[in-house]
Amino acid sequence: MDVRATFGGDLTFSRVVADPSVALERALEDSVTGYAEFVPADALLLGEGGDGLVAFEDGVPVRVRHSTGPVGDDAVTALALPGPYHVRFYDHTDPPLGPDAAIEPDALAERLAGDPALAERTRERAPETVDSGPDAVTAFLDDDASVEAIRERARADAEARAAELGFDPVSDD
Amino acid sequence: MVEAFAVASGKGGTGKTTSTLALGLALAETYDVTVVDADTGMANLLFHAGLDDADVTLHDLLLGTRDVAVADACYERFGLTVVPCGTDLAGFRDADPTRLRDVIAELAADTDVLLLDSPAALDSAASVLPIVLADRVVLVTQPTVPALSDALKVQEYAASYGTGVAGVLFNKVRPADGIERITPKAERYFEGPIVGAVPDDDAARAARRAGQPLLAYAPDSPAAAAYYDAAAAIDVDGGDGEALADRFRSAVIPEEV
Repeated sequence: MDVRATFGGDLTFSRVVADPSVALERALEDSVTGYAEFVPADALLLGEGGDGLVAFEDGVPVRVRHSTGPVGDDAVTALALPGPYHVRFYDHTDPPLGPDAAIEPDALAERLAGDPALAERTRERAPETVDSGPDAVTAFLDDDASVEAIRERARADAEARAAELGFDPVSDD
Repeated sequence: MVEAFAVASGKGGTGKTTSTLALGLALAETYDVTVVDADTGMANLLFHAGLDDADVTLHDLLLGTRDVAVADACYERFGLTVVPCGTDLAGFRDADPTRLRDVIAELAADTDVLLLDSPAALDSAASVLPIVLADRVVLVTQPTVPALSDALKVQEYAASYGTGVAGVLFNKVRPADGIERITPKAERYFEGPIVGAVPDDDAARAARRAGQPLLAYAPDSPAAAAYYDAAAAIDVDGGDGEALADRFRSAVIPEEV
């Protein structure tokens, strides 16, 4: 399908990726608002199986439609194939597709990319989370014990992984 | 003199690359600045700096398969020396990140300020290496709980490897974020000062699309003004270039990554 002719927008990214997380990560990093075509290898090489259209808002995939008909979660299932994919991003101030095509923010990261860390970052970015807003942030920063616990865990991780990573940790002394 | 800063965030989407180039351009008004895309797995500095078609990149230096010198991967753009990284998967897969140490050592001998655009993760030796190699980190974060948590984690990793915190920069700040309430509370936990709060600004996205650094594309934008202030608040503590180069050469880094 010629999505650009249908929806318009400027092409900002076009690449064949072995791992769709590369494209999803890029969308998150660049806070893409617009839409993307995900064309799996079979569609790319054999013209079979169809492709996916994904709407993004502020880097988060929010709606999906598969060219064979399914929308939403079913479209994610139809699109979840072994890579590679040709992915094209188009900037668009009003990303396409309706509420029937809505997906969970982490659906593509979990099921297309199989990347739990990316899924977590995508969830964090998604709007209306309990972690956003000044009240949530100031409450977090007022909770000395929780913040210290995060720092202590990170220090312990860094030191524990020093040998694994091959770096020399520095003593606090 | 030379001081190496890793610009790091611990998570994607904070505008780290935009910030690296913006701080680079602002610091370049006083210092000789070199910006390196050390985010070798998710390189995008080249798109921000209009270097999409760069022939020689950091990947070539880390691969070691082409007969190219470090100078061949250095591009003079916007008053900076820019060392972009390639984006092809083979380049990332086959690159030897440990060679970054030698590249940094060579660059350090001939600049005042080195800015390393660092990976938005702490999950591999390659992603931690820029933080290990730098003198100090500049933490780019947002006024949200997850972003602050990740910035704190990077700070602790940095401290574990003897790398200090030069400053903390809030980015993509919206009026509703209540940054004036958050800043004094956040400052208590960081080992360096909060050097600024850059407003969420469409100019940053437009600059990215135009393939130009924000400070070149929209120097009068509110975000650009905030970056100039932030750069001025970073106290560059230059050491001896040769000493730094020696330290890089002797840094303990893994044989296998």
